[in-house]
Amino acid sequence: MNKQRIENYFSGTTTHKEELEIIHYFSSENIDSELILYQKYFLGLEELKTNIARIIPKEEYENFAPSSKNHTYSIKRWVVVMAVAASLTLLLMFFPNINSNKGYVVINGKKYTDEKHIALAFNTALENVKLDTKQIFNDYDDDLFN
Amino acid sequence: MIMMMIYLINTVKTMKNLKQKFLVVVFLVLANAGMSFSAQSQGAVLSIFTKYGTNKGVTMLEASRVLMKEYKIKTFKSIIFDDGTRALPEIRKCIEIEKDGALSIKESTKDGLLTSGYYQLKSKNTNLKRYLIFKVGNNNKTTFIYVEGELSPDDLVELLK
Repeated sequence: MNKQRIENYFSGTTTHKEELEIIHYFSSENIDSELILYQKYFLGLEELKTNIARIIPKEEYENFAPSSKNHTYSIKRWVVVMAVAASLTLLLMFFPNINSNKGYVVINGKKYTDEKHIALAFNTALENVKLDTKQIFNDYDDDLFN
Repeated sequence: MIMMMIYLINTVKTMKNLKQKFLVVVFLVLANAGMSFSAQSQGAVLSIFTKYGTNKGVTMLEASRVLMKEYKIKTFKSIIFDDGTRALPEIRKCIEIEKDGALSIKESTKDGLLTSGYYQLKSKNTNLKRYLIFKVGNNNKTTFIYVEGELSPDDLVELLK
């Protein structure tokens, strides 16, 4: 998967088949470090599509689903697509961690999702900014005088 | 996003189906609320993670909510630069922006440059506290942390002891 294809996706020039390939790619484990940031978007989109398919009656949903034979875009379909995009945006805005239940750490551009790496990175980050005893006592002094 | 909203507003005007019209309006209202919420919780801080997170010599962490639950943390993002020389001006600029209106600030400087800082940022939600922690160590080893959650400043101090 290259960045150009993602850019084509956002400029609306990818085919339905290419879009399915993109979704499939971001559902896999081996994602290029350059493209990691797009993972949430595409997985969120897929999740939203599944949820919408549950809510909207099947016949109606199928009318909106992309067809390889007919590429006529009706206004109705366009509205649904826009609604999906808006919902997805909202979802990502309100729940930015929606796909990060496991958490992750990126070291030198390589992504790790195992607990060992995450815990190590967490402890290192805290260790680096650890307050020294002198500073803590200064804070208590501040509290006493204020 | 804004372009999409403008397009949707124009579409609503021409739509005849009331149900669809209603749905689009609801989305517009929610999107607007979402945008202001997002602007508060991300903005300049996120740009640092996005820009440098996958670079060499950088460790970027987004800790899981499960791991963070015991610390009452909702979001924990950290980025550690083995040598932050290139990113430091941008990080300091980001801190300048974010600390505007901060509830609590503790900073130390060396030669006029910020070397460490602890900030409790303003938050629209009283239950949600937001913190920024920054430190430059030896050889410009730089750590920048964004924490969001219900933890009090005392809880944070405990965590950093």
